[in-house]
Amino acid sequence: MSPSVKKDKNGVGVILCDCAGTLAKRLDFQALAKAAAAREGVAAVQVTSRLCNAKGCLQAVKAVAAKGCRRLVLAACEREIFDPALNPALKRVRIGDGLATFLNIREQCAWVHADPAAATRKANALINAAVERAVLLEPIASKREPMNRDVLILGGDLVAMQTALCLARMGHKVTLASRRPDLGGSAARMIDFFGYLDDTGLSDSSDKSENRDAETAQAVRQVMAATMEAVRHDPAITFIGNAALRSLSGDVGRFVAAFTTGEQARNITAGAVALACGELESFPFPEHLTGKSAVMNLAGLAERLHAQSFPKSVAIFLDLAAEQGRIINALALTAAERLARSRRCRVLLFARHIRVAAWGLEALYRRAREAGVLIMRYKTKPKINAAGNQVDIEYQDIQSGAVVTESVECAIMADARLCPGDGLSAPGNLIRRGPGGAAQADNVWLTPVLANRPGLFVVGLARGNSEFREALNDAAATAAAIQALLASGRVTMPQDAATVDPDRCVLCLTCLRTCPHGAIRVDAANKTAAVSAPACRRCGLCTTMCPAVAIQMPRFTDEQMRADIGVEPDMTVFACEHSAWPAATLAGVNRAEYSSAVRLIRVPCLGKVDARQVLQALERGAKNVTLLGCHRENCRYLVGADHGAKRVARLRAMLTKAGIDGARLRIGHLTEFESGRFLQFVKE
Amino acid sequence: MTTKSNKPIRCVLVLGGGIAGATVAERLGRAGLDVQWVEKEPVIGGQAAAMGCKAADVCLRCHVCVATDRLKAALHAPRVRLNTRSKLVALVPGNNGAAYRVTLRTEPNIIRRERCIGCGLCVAVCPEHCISVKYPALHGGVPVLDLPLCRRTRDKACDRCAKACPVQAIDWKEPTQNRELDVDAVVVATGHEPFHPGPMGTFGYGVIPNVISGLDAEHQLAGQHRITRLSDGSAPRRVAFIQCVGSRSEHAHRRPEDTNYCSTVCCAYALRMARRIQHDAPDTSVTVFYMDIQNFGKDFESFFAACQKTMTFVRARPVEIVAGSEGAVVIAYEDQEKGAVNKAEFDLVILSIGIRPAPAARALADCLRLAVDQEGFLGIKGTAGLPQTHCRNIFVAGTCGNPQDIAATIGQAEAVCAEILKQA
Repeated sequence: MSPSVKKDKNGVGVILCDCAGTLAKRLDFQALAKAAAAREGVAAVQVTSRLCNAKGCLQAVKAVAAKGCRRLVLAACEREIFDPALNPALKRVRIGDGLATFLNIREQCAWVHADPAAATRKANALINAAVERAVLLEPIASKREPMNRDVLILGGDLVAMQTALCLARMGHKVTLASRRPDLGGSAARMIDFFGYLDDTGLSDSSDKSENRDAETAQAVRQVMAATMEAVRHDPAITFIGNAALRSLSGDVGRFVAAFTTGEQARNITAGAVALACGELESFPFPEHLTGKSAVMNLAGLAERLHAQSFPKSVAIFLDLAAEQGRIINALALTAAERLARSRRCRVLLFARHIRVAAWGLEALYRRAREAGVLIMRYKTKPKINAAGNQVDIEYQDIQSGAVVTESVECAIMADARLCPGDGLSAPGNLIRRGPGGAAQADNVWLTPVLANRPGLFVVGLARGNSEFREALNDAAATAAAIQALLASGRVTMPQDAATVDPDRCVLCLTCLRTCPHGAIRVDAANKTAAVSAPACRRCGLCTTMCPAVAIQMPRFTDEQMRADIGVEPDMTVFACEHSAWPAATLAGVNRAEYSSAVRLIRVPCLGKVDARQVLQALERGAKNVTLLGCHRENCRYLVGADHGAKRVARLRAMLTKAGIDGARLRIGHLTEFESGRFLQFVKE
Repeated sequence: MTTKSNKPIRCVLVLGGGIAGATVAERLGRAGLDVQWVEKEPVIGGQAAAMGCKAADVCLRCHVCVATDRLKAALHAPRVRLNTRSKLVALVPGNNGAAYRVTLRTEPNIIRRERCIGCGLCVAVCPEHCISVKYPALHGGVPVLDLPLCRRTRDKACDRCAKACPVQAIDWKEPTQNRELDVDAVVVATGHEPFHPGPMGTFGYGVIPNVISGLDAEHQLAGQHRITRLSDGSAPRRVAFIQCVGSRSEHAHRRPEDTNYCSTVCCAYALRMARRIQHDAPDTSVTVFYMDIQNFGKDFESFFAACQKTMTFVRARPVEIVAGSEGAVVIAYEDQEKGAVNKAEFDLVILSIGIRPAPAARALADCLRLAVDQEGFLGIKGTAGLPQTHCRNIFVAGTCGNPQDIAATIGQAEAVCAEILKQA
């Protein structure tokens, strides 16, 4: 080796691990080392046996660092296995973040290709591509960002108050801002119907006093009163009533919420925002029942519950306007039981399904029936007519099939729907909604309380979670998550977020509209789009959407991805690191066999792969290109898999038009533990 | 059981290596607390690790991937010390300000995880096939040793695995240990037991080969990504789901093994699984025998509407299930609309079994002086979000407290973290 290469700070060091010698049967390490050493830019090659062992790792890293290498190629197993050994070793030789590139010669070569020659050939190709990538690597610095430790909570009901109290206990200053004038929220009005919150979990009605539901309701009332009292007296909590949210700007660690209270406008700054502003809202009655005194909703019933005179017969209707969930079922069943038991009413309860999927509800259902409530499950909606103090019901009995008519004095339309708090829909707020208007997109990776924007949390009804105790858990979970985020008042993170080239950006706002995390804003001073590093989740979707190619991801630049594709791409698989990549590793662990022509390219998300990468692969001679990623609507970045699917459909049409077989481009969806599906896709 | 001191919580004992335990361990470890994580099996995973993804054309929100992710994250979390094959044997008030002094009993694991490189050589050489890889999606190729099967436990000299291991990860000298630890808080997340349709042959389970449980179907989905018949391995064309097996039983016809609560998860997994089956083979007919379909997820209404278009829903409890010809299963049920007993033939019947408290929960409750409700679940459910224990700094999370789905379990586990972090 010439002295000039030795001193070359850009020299690449290649470390090969033979996994305690166990890979030697399938891979010719001598040949691999020789070929790597001969490559341009490679200054040192080291074969080690134990990269996952602190000592072995440090030895290997020191050996290549001694030859002046500042960039590394690590050909071993999965990174997470040897990371605990590697990180301190890199620190010792002062090789910073972003200067190592990883490839898997164990799970992706030695364990899956029986033919040693083919496995070695593939490993060699992977090393070549990795060296090409390593040459392009730039160090990634870490930066410390201050985070505002204050928290803003939108809403004023029980869960909002519980969230506030929990955060105050953890040492945060909390502002509760509600559009209502006072604390309590809408649930406070129906507190009489929370009798299902059983104190023993499950019990027979026989050993319970007549008033047990009233007693439980009293307990809920006490919880509510005590919570309000605690909130009022907590010096760390400020309550603002009649506050309407106008806009939510900034991002995690530095939100600014603009409110108007009456005529006044005011801004509140916070490091995190919890949305606890959801409420249950009754459906409007059908036209022919509107304004009839004998027809009311549950809130109306709650108001009349303590009145002296009460109708002797009542019908409660569920599932007429929409399928009702367990909370409305719980309220309706409690109401039915109380009317039947303590007011000696004749109670009919009409429902499509009785929803009892929460602890204590089955017992409540049983108690209600034992109290004499008649449960009528219907298939076709009953016909309801109201005149004066009489309500006529015509329905088909499910047992006999006969049409039956009934008359009661009062009809209760219990159906309710979620009413998300107002102000959230302002375009600048960038909150992605789920079904029914919930302030949380319907994506499993947001479970339990995350929103699409980092730093934003969704509690209880605002995310469609209506069950009393689960909503209280949401409150605590939100406090825990906010504490984890803001506890230290700062965050140290690598500067590997998407970066915008101001010279190229034409401010078309495509990135701002597509970013699923609301991490992009307009830098008015410099007339360019700007990415917030703490809010960016590094999915890379913006880089592929930008028509001006103005955005790059430091760990996945266009150049680096071109290097990844390599010179002999063969069967190119762009593998999402959250699904296809671990699935391929799992296939390796299971010692599944597949063609050694398959080349996996790790990408952060399917949304990171665009036409350029696909065409580059085809241009370099790839027989086919497959995008393998998460199932649609299961993307950790919410929309990446959908974008990938759409893009592939469009590209296939374009390829076919250009005379290239469109079938050479495919897309597949799988989960990280579905190695079988991975094999299906690569074997087809 | 309570001690007076208000010392901040620094060290937490987490019992149970399922979703709830993993979530608590990971979150607390990342928050800087010392976590002693205890699992009775040689590997963590719990029930969810053996379940399969039910995504059809889009994700159906079964949350199994999230559970796997949480478990994996906990394995790599800082300050979390995992004790496998371990059990809590005693808990007494602690000294030096710690709330409790606990005694852990750890059986030998033999295979030392921290050394193992997952090369699989020991698996290959074991003459008794007692070394195997469990939940590779979580643990990579790190195997576990099933001690009762091992030759050494039968006083035979055999050290083939130890000789084959290139990194000396097999340690036969490891003794059974009793360790005493001072902890400031205890989180009980020991999970549930799936209802076993049982030796009594509930709905022909265990007698008719093509009657399987929902859990069996989950395992099939996880292992082979499709549901097949046990009798001949073929894909079923006519599938029936029977809901509420072991759950929601009326007092009158209740058998001792039945439960009279709603297990809350079965409608969700059955319908998702049915969607998956019809996605893989669109001409498969699905019939669901049910009492009430419980709602689940955010988008239940449109999901259920879509299900109703492609599946038949029969509100009936089957009265008899017998084997038909060629592996078929015949279900007799009361047709409520016609008022007669109907018979229908299916290729595969899946029993939607529910959640029962783990049998060991009572012993654990005795050890911790925890309240147990009438059904055997831990803690008292009242107006608070978490089951209440009446013992300072002892918390209950997950399905050991009450039946709940993966999402609710994660929510509850994070709520426990908040309770602990408030005092940290």
